[in-house]
Amino acid sequence: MLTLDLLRCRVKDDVVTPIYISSSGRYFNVANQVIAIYHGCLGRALGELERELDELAGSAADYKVYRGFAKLMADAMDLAPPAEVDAEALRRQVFTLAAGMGPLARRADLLFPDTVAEKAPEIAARAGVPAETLPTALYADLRECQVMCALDASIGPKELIERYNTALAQAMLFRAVQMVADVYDNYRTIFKYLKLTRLMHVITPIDGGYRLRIDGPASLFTHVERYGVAMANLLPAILKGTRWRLVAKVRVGPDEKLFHLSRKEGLTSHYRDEPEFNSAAEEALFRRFSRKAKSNCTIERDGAVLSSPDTVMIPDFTFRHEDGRVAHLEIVGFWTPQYLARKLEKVRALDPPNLILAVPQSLNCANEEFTGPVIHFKERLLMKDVVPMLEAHAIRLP
Amino acid sequence: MAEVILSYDAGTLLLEGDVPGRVPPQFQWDPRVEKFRAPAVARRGIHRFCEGLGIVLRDQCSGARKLALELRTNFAPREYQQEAYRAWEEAGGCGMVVLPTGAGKTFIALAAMARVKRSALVVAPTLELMNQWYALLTDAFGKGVGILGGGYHEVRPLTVTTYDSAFIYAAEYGNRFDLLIFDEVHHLPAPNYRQIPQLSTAWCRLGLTATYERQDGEHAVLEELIGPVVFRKTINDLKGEFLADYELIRIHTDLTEEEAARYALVEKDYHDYLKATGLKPFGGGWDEFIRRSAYDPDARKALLAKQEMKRIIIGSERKLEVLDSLLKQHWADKVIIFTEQNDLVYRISREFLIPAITYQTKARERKWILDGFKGELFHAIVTSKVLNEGIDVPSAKIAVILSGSASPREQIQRLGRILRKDPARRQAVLYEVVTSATAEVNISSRRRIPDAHP
Repeated sequence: MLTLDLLRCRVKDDVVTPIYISSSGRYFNVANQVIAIYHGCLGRALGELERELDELAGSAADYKVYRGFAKLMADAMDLAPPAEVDAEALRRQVFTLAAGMGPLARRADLLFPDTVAEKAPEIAARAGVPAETLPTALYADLRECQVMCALDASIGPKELIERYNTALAQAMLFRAVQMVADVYDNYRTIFKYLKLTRLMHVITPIDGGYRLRIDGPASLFTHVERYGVAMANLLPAILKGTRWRLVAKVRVGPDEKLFHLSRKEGLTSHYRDEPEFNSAAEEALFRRFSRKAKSNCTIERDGAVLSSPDTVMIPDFTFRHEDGRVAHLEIVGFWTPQYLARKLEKVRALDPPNLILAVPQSLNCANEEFTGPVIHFKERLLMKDVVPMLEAHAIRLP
Repeated sequence: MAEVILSYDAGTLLLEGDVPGRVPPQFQWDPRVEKFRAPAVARRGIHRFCEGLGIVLRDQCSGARKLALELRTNFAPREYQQEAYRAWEEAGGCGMVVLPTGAGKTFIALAAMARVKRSALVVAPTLELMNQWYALLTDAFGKGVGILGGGYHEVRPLTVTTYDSAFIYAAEYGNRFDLLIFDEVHHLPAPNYRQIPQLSTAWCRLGLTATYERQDGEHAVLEELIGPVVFRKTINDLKGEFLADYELIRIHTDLTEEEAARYALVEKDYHDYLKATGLKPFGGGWDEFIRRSAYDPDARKALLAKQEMKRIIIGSERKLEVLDSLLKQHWADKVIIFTEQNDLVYRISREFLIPAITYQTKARERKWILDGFKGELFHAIVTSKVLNEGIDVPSAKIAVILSGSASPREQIQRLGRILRKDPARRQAVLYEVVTSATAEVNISSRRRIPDAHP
């Protein structure tokens, strides 16, 4: 990610917009140059890399773009100490030795005949390092002395610019006090990251999707920016969707401005794709249902969000009947007893009348553990078991 | 009997149970979770509120621990230090103490920790100060002390941290400490930093500072989140009690020919820009200049020129020659060398083979260096400006400042460093080595500073 000082944005009236860059413009070359510097500095010290980057950016007014590219490349490199030397231990030895040699001057005179330059070889020898490397070895653990030992070579100029634009939108969110996102799919990823980033949300259904008002616990009292970084971490999860838009309230100086974002900007996400299906039973049912030619009912994976103030659940499947009725199906897998207990607790807390649980017989659950409609199945979840349950329990949404 | 339960949630308090009709102070209905919620600082208030109404409060919010803390070090506190501590205690363990730099504010913090005997967090403005508190607490209590910040993430019942790290982790660790100590508490009113006490359940709070200026708003913020000023003494109140007079000797040096030529070149770039734009390089004009340098190539070039001018002045060769001579003169004394440029610190460390402390120095090594300086191992150490504020540096007789900027406040705080009273100590001397960009004859001005404080 970028740091806040590298953010470039423009304010017009109530709206603030990051200055995205195009991969076809002159920055394509700049990206190439920055990448070349990084490749050229593989195996060399960070201090040298810094100097080359400084020379490239020079007095360019848009040096923030150069620096931004550099920051993103730096995120893709690994550092190592320059040599097999414990610099801190070396310093203890060297400074102790030097202190024990009496006054060491920089320039010799009658009273102080011993200079550092004359004594350095002896000190180096006793400390076990070659004299000429002593000055470097002494502070080999400083950041600027670290050596770039690995670099993700797959990043080309186009990808660097894509990463830059996404990072720019994330940096814009660092200053966000609240975010409202309208989302129409991709729920599992979004709610996974909402939980990971420990943000809070209020969810309201909107036509074909949900509106999420996102902030944090202390947002109730003041407009705090402390959740901005979490929102920036959430962004790539939202970018995974095929249809979404968001608006964030962002602090710019003393004011609050609006930051709009949608698929239009073409930002890319580096978060991994979720697996399509969680289990074989899930995949089989989806294929069977989709193949059924003349169905008056459609099936969607992760197609709805059930929520209460305490919990959120995304059933594996949502079925929408052409008459407007809806039912959900959750296949209860089995990983650990704790998992099962949590899932049942969730279902009890939400208690939606149109949620059907599919439980494998191998799970050995007593019937009384479930409050709502349940299908028990052996290995395969059969259509003849599922369809009547859907008919019986689907309801029209308010 | 009515009963309410208080729990902690990421920097806030949640209230459940038989909540009375009158909503407790600072609490608000949170529709997101359908519970009453307040910032964690409201903890004392809700206790008072429930007492007043005869409601049983089950307080489950704190994750702080009881500690067996005994001060190991043999402090002989001065009378005013005792008074300050007692004033804080009488104020219910919430309040601020204002004492001049070098007057030993740390004693009050240690006394407070030894009294409260529960998990405590010390928040300092810089990594240097944080490291120093680490060494101080380790010595004082002989316990493992945790560090949060500067590459460490180790939270223990006694922990030191910086304002920046404390802000980032305010919600995560907001209920882990029952005593918060803010060093240089005048930093706290910054909008982000004030969230540190706001999102904390800590029952006791202590703010320490030398420069408590009453500014509207900020003043109120501190009182609300920490407590009122419970004790205040100025430099004049304490004069004669602990301050030693010292002598300031300012030494001017010139640039070498080569340095002067380079300087003239970049200076021209800088002045040409100022002339062309009419910008004044101070106050609001300076801010405008910095702002412009973000988009105007000429301004950026001028800024780079200005930075190079500063680098040339600070790292000039003659300055190191003067330093060499001072170290020779004071070979028998303890000498601390200050400069604000880290590059120069490392250069001096390499060229004189003396230990260096910068913001990059880790706590363990820092303690080794300062212990060596306190003892007989080292007679000189070099450090960057990070030792500026309130650091408890072992008493040195000689300080050398290789100066760049000469802002009065910074100077005074630096001077405070060697003002620590040490009965066995003779007159302390502070050398300020200043490089003049213009070719001037070396002047050595001697000046006595009877009272170098504001």
